[in-house]
Amino acid sequence: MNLEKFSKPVLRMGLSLVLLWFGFQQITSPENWAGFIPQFIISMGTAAKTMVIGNAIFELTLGLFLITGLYTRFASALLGIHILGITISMGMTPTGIRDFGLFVASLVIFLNGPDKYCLDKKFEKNSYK
Amino acid sequence: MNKKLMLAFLIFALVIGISALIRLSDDNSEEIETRNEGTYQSSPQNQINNLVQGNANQDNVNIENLNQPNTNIDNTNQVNTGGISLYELASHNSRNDCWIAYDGTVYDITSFLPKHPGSAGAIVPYCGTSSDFENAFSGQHGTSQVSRLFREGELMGDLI
Repeated sequence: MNLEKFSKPVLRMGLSLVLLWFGFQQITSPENWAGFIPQFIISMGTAAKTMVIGNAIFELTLGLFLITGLYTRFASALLGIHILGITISMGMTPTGIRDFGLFVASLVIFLNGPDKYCLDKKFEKNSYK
Repeated sequence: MNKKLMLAFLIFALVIGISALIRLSDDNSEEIETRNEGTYQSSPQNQINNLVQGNANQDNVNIENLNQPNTNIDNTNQVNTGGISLYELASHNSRNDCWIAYDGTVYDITSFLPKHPGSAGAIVPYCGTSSDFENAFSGQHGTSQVSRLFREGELMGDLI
């Protein structure tokens, strides 16, 4: 049985679900996440809660792009940069190390590009017709 | 406009719409809670606050009904005489002032809350508690994070 064909979609969907969960948590309880907003962003005058909600919308949107396989490379690249930023701001903490793993996962998705279950592929096929 | 781009916009609009709905409903429920706080003064939290402020008799507080652990609160421990009473510990029960007791020692973990990997919200309900915090902490981490707790928390004194 060839299991290799599942590797790309499983990774893509797994990372998407993580992002969707985090995004949903941030939308429903932004006050629990406000403490994670770096001080330099708060000092720019934006309320931490607003930042969390903006971040949630970003993660939910790109999470949905990724799970459906829409603009897969673009979404994974943006998410990779975003997660790398979080990793750097968190530093060598358990959360930072964990986010480093997520960054590598998004990098792998970016390098792989869309798999055969992605909407990107469907649109690609249609454009050839 | 091609279909792919339209779908992307649709997803974005969907996220914005659902997020706005969730936030609106949350804000409404917060507003209702705020209104209720104005009329309902005998919640466990208010009772704790009243105890801390020495208003227990004025509000007919029944200590046994407090929804807090370790209810054998000693009202004579208003003045800290070398140790920290459960009564005093219970007064540091918010996100901005969070003390917990672990193994008979009180720590101020306020500055650690934003750094908690599982979010500050996971700890805040246990601020100001001793056995409840210990149970939750052990249930979640066992003993693996005890040294970190000692390192991150500011030692305040022994629980008496």
